[in-house]
Amino acid sequence: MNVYYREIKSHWKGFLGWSAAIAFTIVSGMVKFQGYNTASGKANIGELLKTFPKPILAIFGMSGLDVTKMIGYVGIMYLYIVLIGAIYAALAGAEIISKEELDKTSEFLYPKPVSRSRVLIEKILAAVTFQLLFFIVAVITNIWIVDYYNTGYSLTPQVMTLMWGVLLFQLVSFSFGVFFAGIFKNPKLPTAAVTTVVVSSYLLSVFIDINANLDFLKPLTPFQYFGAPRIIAEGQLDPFYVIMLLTVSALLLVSTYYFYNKRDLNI
Amino acid sequence: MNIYFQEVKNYFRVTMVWIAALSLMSFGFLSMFGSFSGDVENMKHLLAGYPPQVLSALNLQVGIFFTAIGFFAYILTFIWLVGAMQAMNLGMGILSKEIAGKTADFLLTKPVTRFSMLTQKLFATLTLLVITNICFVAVTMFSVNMFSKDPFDGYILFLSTLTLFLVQLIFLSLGFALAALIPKIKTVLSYTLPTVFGLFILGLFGNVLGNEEIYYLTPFKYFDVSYIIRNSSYQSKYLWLALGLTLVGIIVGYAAFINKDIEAAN
Repeated sequence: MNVYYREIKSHWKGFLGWSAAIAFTIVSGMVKFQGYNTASGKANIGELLKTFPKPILAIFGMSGLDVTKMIGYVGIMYLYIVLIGAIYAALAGAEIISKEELDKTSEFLYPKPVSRSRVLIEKILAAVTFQLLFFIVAVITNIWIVDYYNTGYSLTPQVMTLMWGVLLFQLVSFSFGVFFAGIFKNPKLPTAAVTTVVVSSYLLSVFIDINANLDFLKPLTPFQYFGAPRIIAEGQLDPFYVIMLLTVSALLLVSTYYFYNKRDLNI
Repeated sequence: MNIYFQEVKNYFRVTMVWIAALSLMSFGFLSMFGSFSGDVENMKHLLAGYPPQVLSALNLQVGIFFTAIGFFAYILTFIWLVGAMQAMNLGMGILSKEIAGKTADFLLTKPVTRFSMLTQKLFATLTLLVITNICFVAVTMFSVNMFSKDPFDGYILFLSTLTLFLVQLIFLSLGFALAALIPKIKTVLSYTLPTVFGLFILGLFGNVLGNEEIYYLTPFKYFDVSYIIRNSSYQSKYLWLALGLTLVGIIVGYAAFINKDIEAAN
């Protein structure tokens, strides 16, 4: 388990930074919501926004959400949490595998009496540990802050459903990161590739929100089928897509295992 | 000038990819203008019924909103997002790669001062950004021309598209300064992505909340197309802020890099 502990030690600081960022985002967003909610005469704004053209709402990140209700606002925040979580997971996954080649320490690590697959598994476990901790921080902060400001019936179950969505985003981005780092020979490519995947699926989703003619592209981007409006409306994550994303992640991780063991490392 | 040419060459292919991405976004989005302007009359009617305070709070001008330029303003924020990533990666990468790639000893022992090296690298990045923006402006102008049935004000469109360059300058110099300040950078993206997305999310907050103070904090809020349309110019305080930040970043970058203790490869 040396590799595992070693990686935990070396990624600890980054984890703290990301956790602080997510907690800050969640808390400050909600504090602002209070100011917004009381200041602008909420009933009217809510009605008004409903009649607004789709593109405007899409740009404001408000499509299908009622900002004046607590849960609508939580839905808006959800997108930001997802973005931050997905980027963290993507970078963490790609980096933890390709760092040996980047730092030119592969020659140090791989001649040690541990198999390559063992190294890979311990590294993945270390990164997953941090992803879970990050997720727990996000969940606790979000549930706590919503509960703190909420006046009506408890929203915790709904918040939790949204947060499972965040975890799925983390998992998929992470798997893509690990996968790219496992297959690409050039150690600089994985981060760029996984970033492209995350950013373009987000942008594609914005495009789809703006233009209804692009609806047929919806299955391509998790930001659509795990978008906040849909999760809130249905009260659950669409099981079909949950299974699909889990399968994709599993396939990516398994094929990483397969390919990384065979790959010629960049020295 | 060797470093300059070398760097322009090194980054040329990547820049092409960025240009393709930005152009595709602009062209792809504007191509949807036709279907969007279809139900304009309806929406105009609806919007005219709203009290003017509400419209101004949401930053909407009915007259502007349905023109091709107003439509283009939607996508501009996202184009800034992508452009900012390009610029910050470039600014940070061009300085940090010598240290990360252990070629710093090779380069710095050559008979060039650090000052000259920095200047050449800086100009290389500027050249690449200028090329990017020329292509972007051209593609956007062309697309608006193609998809808008009504005549439009070319100058205003030009000013709007040029905001990409201004936003990129800020992020370029930010990356430049950070690369000089941070002792050792392994992966550029693990710094640029959080920074760019952090500021982007802050900007989105600003949209939802309409909070003016936040605007100063994020370059994604310095330029506003509806202001440009009304005044045919940038809001001068933000323009100066943008240029000032760029200058500060570059000065910090120079000062820090010239005095930097660079680890030799071993």
